[in-house]
Amino acid sequence: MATNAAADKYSVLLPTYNERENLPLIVWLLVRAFEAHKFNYEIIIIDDNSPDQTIEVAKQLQSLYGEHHIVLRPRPGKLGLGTAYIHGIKHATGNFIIIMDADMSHHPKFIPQFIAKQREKDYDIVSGTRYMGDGGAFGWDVSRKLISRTANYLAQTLLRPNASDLTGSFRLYKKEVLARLMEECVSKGYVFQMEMIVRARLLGFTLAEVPISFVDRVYGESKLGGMEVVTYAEGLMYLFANT
Amino acid sequence: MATKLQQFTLVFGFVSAVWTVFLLNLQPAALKPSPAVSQIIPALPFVALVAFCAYSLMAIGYRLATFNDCNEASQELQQEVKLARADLSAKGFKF
Ligand SMILES: Nc1nc2c(ncn2[C@@H]2O[C@H](COP(=O)(O)OP(=O)(O)OP(=O)(O)O)[C@@H](O)[C@H]2O)c(=O)[nH]1
Ligand SMILES: [Mg+2]
Repeated sequence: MATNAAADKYSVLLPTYNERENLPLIVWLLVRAFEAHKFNYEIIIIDDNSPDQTIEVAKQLQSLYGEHHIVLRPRPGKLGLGTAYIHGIKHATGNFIIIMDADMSHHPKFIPQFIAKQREKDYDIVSGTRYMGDGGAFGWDVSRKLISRTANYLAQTLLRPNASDLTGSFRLYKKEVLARLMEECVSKGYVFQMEMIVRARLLGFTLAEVPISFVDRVYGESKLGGMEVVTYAEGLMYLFANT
Repeated sequence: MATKLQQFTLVFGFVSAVWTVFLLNLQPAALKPSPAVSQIIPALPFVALVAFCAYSLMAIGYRLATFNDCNEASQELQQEVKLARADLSAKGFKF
């Protein structure tokens, strides 16, 4: 299916939980990136009733940038990231969906690169990668890097997915492809992102990668505990045995 | 399609079977290895394991050492945060 570029619309799904510091900044950067390239876009903010009143910030942004660019789809409580994406897709009017974190780890400047890459060969998915070319991460100490490198090596060895960054969550999907994958995938957290790529490969969807620089969150709390490592290992085993 | 576990089991099983045949000297006479090769056959699984571990450590170590720290990206972002704050404030946004 060759798409008519002028008719393309990009729906950014922005799940937020306690991101009142980051949200205005990420939205400003998004608007700037989209306007600079004259892309059609909407930013769907899915806030789970954050105690820090992120929603109040979101409403201000909506009145600033307009209801067709900033769409608010709040939910009554913290229901998790996976369901936030499902909730977001339901309301998306674009033919492409961009998923990214609202904590400024993912810079909107890469979105025009994602779009250009997608149009090269009409890819179904374009995934940001920290592990190729100019990609990388800021704010990681040696142990964080070691964990990340080891986790990635294990996943590459066991799953052979033909994609360098399985756990990243900065990606562009064709809407129907994302909807289809969301039906298939059962995992949560990092493993969910990994399962999306693995299942995409099994279903024959095409995928390209764009190197991204990941900047660890400045505002708000970061967590990578022992529990996450265990969950990751379990998820990896699950995918090894089931895909 | 076979799962990754099934694929692994298949390949592992096949290689193990071939190794066992040579270990027990059950192969056709034409394939009889020289005495020097025969000697190392019992140690092959161990050699393979060590080689795999060494390769893994090297691969992870190399990528750890060459990991891109993205310092410029962080600095650029800090500049942009200032721009964004100034512009948003000018437009009447209350942080
Ligand atoms: N709506 C919604 N958003 C969430 C929820 N949990 C996390 N988020 C958002 O999802 C994005 C990614 O979450 P993070 O907490 O940054 O997860 P992470 O990047 O794995 O971990 P950090 O190291 O803390 O950055 C952020 O934009 C969060 O605000 C949730 O339960 N509901
Ligand atoms: Mg984050």
